[in-house]
Amino acid sequence: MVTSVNVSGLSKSYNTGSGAVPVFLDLSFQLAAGESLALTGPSGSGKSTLLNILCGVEGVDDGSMQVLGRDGATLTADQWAGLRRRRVGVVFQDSNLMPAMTLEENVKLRADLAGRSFGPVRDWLARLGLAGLEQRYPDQVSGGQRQRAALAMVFAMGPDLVLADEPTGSLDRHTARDVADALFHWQRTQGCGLILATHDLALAERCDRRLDLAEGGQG
Amino acid sequence: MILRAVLSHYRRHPLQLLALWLILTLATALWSGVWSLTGQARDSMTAGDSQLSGRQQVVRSDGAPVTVADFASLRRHGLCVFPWLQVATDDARGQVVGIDPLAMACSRGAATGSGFSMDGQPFVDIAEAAERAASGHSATLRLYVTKGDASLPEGWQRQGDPGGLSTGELSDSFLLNLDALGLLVVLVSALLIRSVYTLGLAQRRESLGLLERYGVTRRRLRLHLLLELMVLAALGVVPGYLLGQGLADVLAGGFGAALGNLFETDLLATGESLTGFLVTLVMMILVVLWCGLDLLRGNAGRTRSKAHPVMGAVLILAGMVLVVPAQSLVTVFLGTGLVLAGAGLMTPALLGWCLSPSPHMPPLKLWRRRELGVLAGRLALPLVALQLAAGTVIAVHALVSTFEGTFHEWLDQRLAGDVFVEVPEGKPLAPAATWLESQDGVAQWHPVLRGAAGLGMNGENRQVDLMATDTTSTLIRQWSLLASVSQPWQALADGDVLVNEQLARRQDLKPGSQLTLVIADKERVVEVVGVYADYGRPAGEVLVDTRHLPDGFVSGFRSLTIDLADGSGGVSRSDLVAGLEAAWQVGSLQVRDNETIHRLATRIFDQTFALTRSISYLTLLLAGVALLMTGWVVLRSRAWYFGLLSAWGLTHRQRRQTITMLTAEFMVAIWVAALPVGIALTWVLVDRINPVAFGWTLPMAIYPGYWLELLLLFGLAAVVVGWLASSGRTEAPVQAPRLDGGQER
Repeated sequence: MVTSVNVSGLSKSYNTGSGAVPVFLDLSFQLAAGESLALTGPSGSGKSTLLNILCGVEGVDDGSMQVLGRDGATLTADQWAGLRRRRVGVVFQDSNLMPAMTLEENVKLRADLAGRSFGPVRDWLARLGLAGLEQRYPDQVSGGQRQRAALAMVFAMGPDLVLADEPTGSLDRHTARDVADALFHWQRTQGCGLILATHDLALAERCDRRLDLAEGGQG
Repeated sequence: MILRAVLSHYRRHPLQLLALWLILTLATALWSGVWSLTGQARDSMTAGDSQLSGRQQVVRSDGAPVTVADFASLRRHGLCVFPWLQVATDDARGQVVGIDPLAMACSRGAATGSGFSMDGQPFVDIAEAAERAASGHSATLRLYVTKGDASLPEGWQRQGDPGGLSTGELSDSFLLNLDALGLLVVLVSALLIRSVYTLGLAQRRESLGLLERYGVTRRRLRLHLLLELMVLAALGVVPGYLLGQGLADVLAGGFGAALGNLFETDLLATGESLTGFLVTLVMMILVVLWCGLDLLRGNAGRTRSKAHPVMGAVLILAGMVLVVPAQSLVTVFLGTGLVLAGAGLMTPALLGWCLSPSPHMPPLKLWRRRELGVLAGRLALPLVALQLAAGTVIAVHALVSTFEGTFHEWLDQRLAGDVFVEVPEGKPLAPAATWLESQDGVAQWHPVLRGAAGLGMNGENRQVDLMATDTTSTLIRQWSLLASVSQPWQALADGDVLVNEQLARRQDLKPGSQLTLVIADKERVVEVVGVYADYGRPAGEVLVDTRHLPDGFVSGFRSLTIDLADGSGGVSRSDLVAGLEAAWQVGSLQVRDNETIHRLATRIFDQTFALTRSISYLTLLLAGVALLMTGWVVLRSRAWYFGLLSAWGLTHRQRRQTITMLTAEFMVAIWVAALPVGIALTWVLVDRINPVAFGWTLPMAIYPGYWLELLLLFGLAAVVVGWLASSGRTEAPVQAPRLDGGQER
C-alpha cells in the first residue's frame, strides 16, 4: 500500500502556566493514497493540532511521521512550506479567502503559488456552482459559496493530500452536504488523500475510516 | 458595571490603551514644546534685534509691559525717550509703527525723515496707531532711548546694541513662518489623535453593539465613551505638558547659551508658564471634543465618503483661487488651510486609485495591491497626517535652507568691509576722505548717505528712502542683484538707479523701467537698472551714486564702510579710529566691527534654524509613531490572512518579504503624496506669505537630495512595520479570524 501519511507514537502537549497539558499520547495511524480519514472527538481533543502537525506548522514532542513519503523529522520549515505550496491543500472552517480579492483572483492566487496554470480556474468555479460569481468578493457571497470557492482553490492546486478542519462546520445542513459532496467527489476521482477533522458524525461516516482522538487515537 | 464592560476592551488590548494615552501625551508634549519654543524664539529674536539695532530699548526690570504712564514718568525724569507703537494691520503692510514726531527728536537722524517718514510705510503718527490699536488690532508699545543717554531711574534697564544693522524684519518673517508651522503641528497632531482613537473605537463596535442589545441605551454608551476619552486626555495632558517643557528647555538650551555669551545677559526666557499650560489644555479639550462630536453623532469610525475626492478637489481649487492673488495674510492662511484640507480628503482615494491593480498582474502582486487599497482606506487619517507632516518637513527644510543662504549672502553684502563708522553730526566727509586716501593700510572705502527722495509715478509723488554711495566701490559691486540690465554698475555710475525689491514689487518696477526721481527739489528721469534684495525693513528704497546727488541734498545719516588691507601693511583698528577722530576733530566715534555683527547675527539665526528643524522633525516623529501604532493594529487585524499565505506555502522569509514590500509600497506612496504638499507649502511660505507681509520674497528652491533622505527614513519605518507585522507566528492560522474588522475589504 502506498501511504500518504504514516504516523507512529506521536505525542503532543502544550505548556501552560500550571504545567504541561497533554493533547494526545502515542498516536499512530496510516493513510493510504486515495483514502479518506475522519478525525473526530470533542473540542480540545487535538483534531486541529494534529492537522497543524501534519502540515508542518506545529512540532511534536515525541514520535515520528511520514507525509507524502517525506520524513517529518528531517524536513526544514522551508521544505514544509514547499509541501504545503504544491502538494498539501488546507481547508479551514471559515475565512479561507483573501477578503480584498474576488473569488476568481483567490483561486488564481492559490494556483499560481502551486505553480499550476490559470486555465481551469473558471472551470473549477463553474463545477462548484459558482459560475457568474467569479468577480464577487468574499463578503458578497454566502458562507456556502465561500467554502465552495475554498474547495476550488484546493482543486486548482491539485494536491496529493488535503487537510480539512471542520470544512462544513459553519454551514447549514443542506449547504454542508453540497460542499461535502463536491469534496468527496473530487477526492475520489483524483485519488488524493484526505484527512478531515469534524464534529459531524454523518460527515465522518462518509470517510473511508474514522479516528476518534477521544479514545486515544489508535487507528 | 456598564463602565466596566465598556472598558473591558482595554483589558484585552492593554497596548491599545497605552497607545492612545501615549499619543495624547506626545501630542500635548509637542504642542507645549512648540508653544514654548516659538515664544522663546520670539523673545530672543526681539532681544537680539534690539541689541543689533541703532536704538536702545528701555524695559522695566520687573518684566512688565511698558505703558503710556511709564513714558510720562521717564520723560519727567528727564530722559529723552521716544515711544514706538507697533500695531498689526490687515493689509499688505502687516503692521504700522506709530511714532511721536516731537519725541523722535530724541532719536538721532529722525528729524530728517530717514526711515521715519510718516507715510504709513510703515510709520504713522502715534495717534493714528493708537486709534488702530483701540479698534482691536494687536499692539505693542516699546520705549527707546539713543545710546549714551543719561542713566535710567531705578526699576528700569536698557538693552544695548553694538551697531546699526537691524535684522528685525527678517526675524519677524521667520517668526511668522514659525507660527504657521505651529498651526500645522496642531492640525497634524489633532488628526493623529483622532485616527488612533477612531481606529480603537472601530474595533469595539461589536462589543458595544452587544451591550446595546442587552438594553444599554446608545446615549449612555456614548457618554461613557466620552467620559473615558476625557479621563485619558486629562491623564495625558499633565505629563505631556511637562515633557514638552523639558523638551523645549533641552532644545533651547544651546540657543540660550549662545545668546547669553553674545550679549552677556540672559535673553532667553525659559520655564513653565500658566498661559502655556492653559493654551495646551484648551487645545486638548478642542481636539477631544472633535473626536467626541462624531461619537455623539454616532458616526465614529465610519469609512470614507465617496464624495471626499470631489470635495477635496473643490477645496484645493478654492484654496488656490484664494492664495494666488491674496493681498492679506488671513487670506493666504485660509487658502492654504483649504488646500491642505482638500489634499487630505483626496489623498486616500487618489492613492487607492493609483495603486489599483491591473487584472494582468501576477496574483501575489495583485494581492499586495489589494491589501494596499485596504490599508489606504483604513489608515486614511494617519496617512494624511503623515503626508502633511512630511510635507511640512520638506517645506521647512526648503525654507530654512533658502533662508540660511539668503541671509548669509545678504549679510555678506551689507557687512562688506571690516569697519563701519558713523560720520559725526555736522562734520564734512572731506577731511576723513583725505586721511583715508593717504593711508596705505586702508584697502578701500566708500561712503553711504541716507536720506529721502520723491518718486514721480503715474502723476503721484511718493516719498521713498534714498541710499547714495560710491557705486564704483568693489565692496558694492559684489552685491548680487535679483534682476538687472546688462552692465548695471556702469549705468548706475552714469546716473541711473537701483531699487530695492519692496519698491520694485509695490510699483511694478523692472530693469528698464523709467521713473522720475526728485532729490532736494531737483527732478530728473532715470532708468531702473537693477533690483536688489533688502531684508532689513519693509520700506521702499532707491540707490544712487553719490556723484549724482544734487547740491542741496541733506543726508539724514552718513557712514563710511572701510576695508583694511590684510597682513603687515594694514592699519590697526585703533589707529584707524584715532586717525579719523583727528581728521574730524572729535573725541569719540561710533564704530562697528562688521565681523562681530556678522557673527552675532549668524549665530542667533543658526540656533533658530536648528529650533525650527527640531519642531518639524518632532512633528514627523509623532506622525511616524502614530502611523506605526495604527499600522501595527491594522496589520494585526490582517494577521489571519498573512497566516493564510504561510498555509499556502510561502516560507517565513517569503512572507516577511511580501509583507515588507507591502508596507514599503504604502510608505513610498505616502512619501510621493507628501512631495506636492511640501512644494506647495514651500511656495506659500517663500512666495506668498513673505511678499504679502513684508514686500519681499525668497528664492523658491527645492532640495531633491533631502527628499531622498526622507525616503530612506520612510523605507526604514516600512521595514520596521513589516518586520513587526510578519514576526511572531510563522505558522498557518489555526482559529477562525475574529480579529475585528479583519474580514472587511
